Formats: sequence, C-alpha cells, structure tokens
Amino acid sequence: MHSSHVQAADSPIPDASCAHASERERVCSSTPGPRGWRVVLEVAGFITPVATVITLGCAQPEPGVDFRDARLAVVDMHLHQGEWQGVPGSTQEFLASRFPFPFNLNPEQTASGILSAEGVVAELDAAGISRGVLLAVYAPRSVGVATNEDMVEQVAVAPDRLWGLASLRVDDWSAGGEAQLAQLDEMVQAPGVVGVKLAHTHMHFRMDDPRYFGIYEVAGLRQKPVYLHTGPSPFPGTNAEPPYTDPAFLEAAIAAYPETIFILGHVGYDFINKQLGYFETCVTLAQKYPNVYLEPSALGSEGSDPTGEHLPHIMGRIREAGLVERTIYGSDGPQSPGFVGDYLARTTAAMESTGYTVEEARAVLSGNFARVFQVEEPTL
Amino acid sequence: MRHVLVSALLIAAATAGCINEDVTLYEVRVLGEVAVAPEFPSAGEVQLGLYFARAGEGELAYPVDSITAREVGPPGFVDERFLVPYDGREELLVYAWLDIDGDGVLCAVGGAEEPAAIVAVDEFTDFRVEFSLLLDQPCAGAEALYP
Repeated sequence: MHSSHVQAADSPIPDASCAHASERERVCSSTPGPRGWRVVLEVAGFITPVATVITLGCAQPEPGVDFRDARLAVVDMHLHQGEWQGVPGSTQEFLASRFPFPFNLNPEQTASGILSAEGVVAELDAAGISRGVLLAVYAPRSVGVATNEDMVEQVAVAPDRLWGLASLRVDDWSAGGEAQLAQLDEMVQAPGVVGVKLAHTHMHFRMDDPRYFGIYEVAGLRQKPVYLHTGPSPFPGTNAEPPYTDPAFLEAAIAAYPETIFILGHVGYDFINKQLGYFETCVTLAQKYPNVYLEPSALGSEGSDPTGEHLPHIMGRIREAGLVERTIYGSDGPQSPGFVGDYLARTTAAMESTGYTVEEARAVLSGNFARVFQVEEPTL
Repeated sequence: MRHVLVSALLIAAATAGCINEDVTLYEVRVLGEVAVAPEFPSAGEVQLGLYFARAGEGELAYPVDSITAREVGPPGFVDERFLVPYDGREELLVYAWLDIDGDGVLCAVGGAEEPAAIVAVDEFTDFRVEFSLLLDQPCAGAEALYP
C-alpha cells in the first residue's frame, strides 16, 4: 500500500504521472495529471489538507508490488474508459451511489477525472502498476457505450502504459452483423489493441448463439484473446438469465474455436447475490480446455465481497486446481479513486494467504498476460 | 379506453441512491394465440414477454427493450393483462417461448431444444394488443428475432 502525507492546501495536487521514471515522462508532457480530483474537491468545498489526504495523498509508490520477499511488476487487464454521457441514466445513478464521499457529490466530475487516459494512468501510478488495458464497450441497455475509436485514442495518450481491447455492437445483428465483424477485424489491428471485449449479460446476446460465433473466428484469426464477462452483473439493464451469464453456455464456442483464447472475466461471480455463482463452472472449463483463462476482477472488492472470504477462496481454489498459469490479473477499475490500488492489495493478500509462491504471483500479475496477449512482460 | 391504473412514485429504497421519478403504468390486455411448430413437442408452459421495439437515443439507442414477462400456461389462447410504462412509445413486441422441460430456462445446457417467436404490434389501441405467434425458432432470445 502506498503512504500518504499532507499536502499544503494551496499547492497544486502533484501530477503523479510526472513524479517518476522516464517512461512516464511522455504521459507527463502531454497531460496535466489527475486534475479531476482537484476539481471534485473544489466543487465539494473540501480544499483543505485533510481533503487532500483523502484523495490519495501525494506520495507515489515505486513501480511494482511487494509479494513476500520480492517486488513484482503488474499489468491490470481490466480498466474502463469513456465518458459519463455514454452511460445510461439508470446506470449513472447506480455508479454514483457507489462513489465514496466526497466523490459522490459530483459523480460526473469524478467519472470524467478517472475515466480518461490521464486519470487511469494516475491510478496505475498510485498503485505501482506498470501497464493497464482499456476496454471498449457497446452495451447501450446497461453500462453504456465507450467506443473503439475513443479507446484507441485513449491508448495513444500513453502507449507505453496502456493497451486496449476492442468490441462491437450486437444489437442489430441481422442487418449489421457483417459490418460489425469487419469493423472489429479492423479495430483489433489498430496500434495498441491486443484483444476483444464482450459481455453477453450487458450486451444481451446468448453465449451459445452461433450467429455470433464469427466474433471468435475473427479473434482467433488475428490471435487476439477474447475477454468475456461471466456471471450475473449488478448493473441496471442487464440480462441475468443463465444463457447470458453462465459460462457453461460458452462451451460450444470454446470447443469450436480452439485457436481462440477465452478469458472468463470475473470467473462467473454472482455480483447480485455476492456469491461464487458460476465459479466452479469456470474452473471446470479451464481444466477441460487449454484455450480458457480466468480473470478474478472486481469480485473481491469491499462492496462485492463484504466478508472478504470470496477472493481468497477463489485464488486458493485456482491454485489447488492447477490453474495458476491460466489466471490473469485485472481489477475492473478505475470505479472510484483508489480502487485500482486497493484491489491489487486485496489480490496479493489473497495470494499470500493461500500459499502462492513468488513465481506463481508473478505469473498471475504479469507473466500470463504477456504470454497470452503476446506482448513484452513489463520489468521493474 | 382503459384508464390509467397506476401512477406510482418509484422510490428505489433498495438501492443506495434514490430515484424520484414518476412512472405512469397502463394496464394492457394482451389477447392472442400461441401455436407451436410441428417439429417441436407442444407440451409445456408458454413464457410470454412484452417489449418496446426501441429505446434510448443516439449511440445509446437499441432495439428490444424488455418491459415484463411471465408464464401464461400451455400453448393456445392467451388473455393476459400486463402493466406497461407509458412514455410515448407505441410499438410493442410480443415474444414467447415454450418451456418444454419445465426448467424456466430457454434451451438450458443439456436441456430440451425449445421454440420461440416474436411479433411486432404497431400500436396498442385502447390498451388492447392482439397477436398471433407460431413458435418455430429454436433457442432464440427476443433480441435474436428482432429487428
């Protein structure tokens, strides 16, 4: 965890992205840093040293995270970008209700601050995370739209820190499916785009509907792994029926496209009832198919795992099942200021408590991502 | 014309935030026939759903906006009443599928292949919808059948 110190009330909040190594100077030179938080505080009337401490303090940790006697590089493969206006009203209200005080006083300002590339990089810096992956999203019924074009633009702001996953619209598939597939094929070849993002429950298409299997074909041909949200989602406007949430419905696609990597996001966790949900189904699929990977993001947060038992259980079970080499770290941030770092701390604690070795933790935190997405593993 | 039955102030106390929004609900009578294509078993319970054909604006626009759904009995004549929010949209969709194996899930893994169909109703005059459906599309959710 990072340390904090009191910042003078009238001095600018330091640009965390400027404070460190040369690889970050490119970001620093083109961006002013996490101004959004200062704006939020101004709006909220909390320009005081105390409020500054609330916002993350000022000290930026060295890159990496401590694990046992080692310091490990980290890639966070699940980060959101976009604009508040791209989120439906009901989901805006839901999100605002989850921002901690004082950030909930002006949720649009908060979101604008942390959903930009600059905001995400600041969160990565504060957490000591080397690189992150920004997702495009096309889910107008539920979580909204963050376009491929915006994602590519955001990745380009900090190409040495960010990668991206492309997505596509599926809600007028009969008329527009072919065009969407063609656009996806183009987008996954854009600079910095390393894979595909899908969320059947948010996007409202069945996991076993063969009309959409062309998505997996494109991904396989381009050797771009597909990240799929699995399990019931807490957001308004989702489809929580099993064909949209239960990864067992993905098996036909997984078997039909062995060259395509399927990353089962959230490992089937039930965010509605805050239970393990379809986790064991994910384990079974990963054991059965070498092209299945696991990603345990968000489920271990304070809000989704109030007892703190589920994330350690899941990380322990993954190790017991021999699936450490098939597990990729992600947070599902930025969510709210500080979330990215907090989730990393929770995950490393869960791995420590369940007996992960340093090498196993390194695999989960960066090595598996680099291997699967065919990118260079970050070093410290 | 049926009159407004419910004008409710929905206070989402169950959520952390409060939604202070007046939602006017109309009772709509749904009358019609649900038949099953011969290649499928005809025994089972019909799951009937109402949808608006379109929702949202701009890049947040999308088709097939779910309103409500429930089980309405075996295939045949349907006479049901549903509460529908009134917000100016008039094009409704009636969607149905047949729960052959009784598990409540359309084409569950390892379960029966179950048929579905959807039909658009341009307007619901006098809050009455008449429709006819032949369930003949295997394992198709509403979003897969419209537009």
